[in-house]
Amino acid sequence: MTVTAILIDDEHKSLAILKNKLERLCPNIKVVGETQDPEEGIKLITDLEPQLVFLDIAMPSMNGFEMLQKIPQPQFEIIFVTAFDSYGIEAIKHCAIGYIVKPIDSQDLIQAVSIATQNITDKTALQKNKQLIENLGIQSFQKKKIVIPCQEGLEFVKMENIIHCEGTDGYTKIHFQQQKPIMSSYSIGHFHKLLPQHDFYLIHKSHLINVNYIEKYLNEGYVVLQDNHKLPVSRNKRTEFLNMIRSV
Amino acid sequence: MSKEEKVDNIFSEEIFFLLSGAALLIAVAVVILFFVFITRKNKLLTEKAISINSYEKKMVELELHALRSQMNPHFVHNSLNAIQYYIQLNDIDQSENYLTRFSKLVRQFFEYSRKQTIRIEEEIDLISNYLALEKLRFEDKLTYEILCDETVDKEAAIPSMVLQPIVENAVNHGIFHKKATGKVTITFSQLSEDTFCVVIKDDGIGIKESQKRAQHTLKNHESHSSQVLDERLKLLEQIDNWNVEYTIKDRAEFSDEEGTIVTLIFKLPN
Repeated sequence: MTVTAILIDDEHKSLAILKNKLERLCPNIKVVGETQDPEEGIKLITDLEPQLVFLDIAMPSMNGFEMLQKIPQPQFEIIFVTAFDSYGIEAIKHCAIGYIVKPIDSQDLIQAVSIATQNITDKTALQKNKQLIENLGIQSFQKKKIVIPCQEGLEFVKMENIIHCEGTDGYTKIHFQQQKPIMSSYSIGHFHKLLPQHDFYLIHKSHLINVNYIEKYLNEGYVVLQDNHKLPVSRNKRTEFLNMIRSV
Repeated sequence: MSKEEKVDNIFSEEIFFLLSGAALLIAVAVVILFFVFITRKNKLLTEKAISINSYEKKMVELELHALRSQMNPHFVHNSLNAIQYYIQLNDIDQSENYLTRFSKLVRQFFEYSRKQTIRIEEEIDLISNYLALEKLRFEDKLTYEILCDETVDKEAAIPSMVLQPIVENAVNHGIFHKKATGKVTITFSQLSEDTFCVVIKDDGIGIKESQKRAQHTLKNHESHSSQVLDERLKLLEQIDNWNVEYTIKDRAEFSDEEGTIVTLIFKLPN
């Protein structure tokens, strides 16, 4: 499937690198525009309506997020391109949006482009981009929503509503407070990285729990959560886990 | 036994009791004093040990902080990105040139972060190396100049890891957001026999505007790095008697030029 794309980065070198790599590695990407100026980027997007935008985060005058906020209906898939931005990358990951880091690794680029190409047919970009903009305006981690791809499409869930995640054969079942569980094709390890470490603790290789929902701890090595699930705590994690809940 | 002898006997007995009583008292007092002394001494020793310990801990922490503030991940990845560009162009000379420059700078970062002071000459070399790499990224958007008065003794010592983070702020917060070409000027001058001064001046957007932008993006890297600098300067004063005066001003406030000017006055320890 041919995908039209626009490249936005304040450094001409970065644009050149990306364009060169796309030509060599991703023949389905047709670059219809490129610019070093975010202001012009908005104009290009409005005029050309690309399916995919490669967007740098740190730019003078306006960063990538600020630029995105100025577009009323961001209906395109985004792949963020960034040298380093821990805060930004976190937010991007939460919304299941693509990103690659500079210097660009060929395999990362190929993978990000292939995922974005698949997503274009699903037409979920608008929802994800809007969620990203919403999350960027929220300070408290717990109030932010994360985007979870599942069988029927995308689920938008508030982090504070997740009670625990249960890993099963590479899939993850997510249990909520007032909602029936959902299945995600992300592994439990992925959720462990995605959810804030301060609130979510991996008590067992297949159980990630929200510590705010702990009802009690049983000496034989189990925790009982508010939804009455009784889950085992791995032997090698017990001491650390107990120290952690005491300090909360 | 005569009467007198008897009296004498009673008398010497009394003296004996008195003396032994006094001796006992003195002995008890000595023992008590000894214990008090020992506990005091131990207390002082532990206090000292704790303070040495926390001092060492502080030093290690600051070394780490300084290294982090120098090895700014933005800078590292942007430099490598620029090198990737020359590799793609098949420009072997430029690729090698910048790769070796980068490697030299990283080596300097590691080496100098372990030292309290370095020679002024080494500091100038580090900063020019750093700016050359930034120029690779900013190209025509950045120019720089490092001036050193003839009166400055380049073999003299300067506290390490103080200047580079300030120069980096000038580039990343001042020049980065400026549309036109920006210039960073670093001037070393001798004020008196034991005092020298370093001025880092840029013609970027100025610290006021840069702080305003930082608030917008929810990050405050700048305040973090200036906090590290403050702590480091305080420690230098406490431990090595270096007296460093540090002022930062927005140039628009006292002239019709824009940008930020940072002045550091180093007074050598006596």
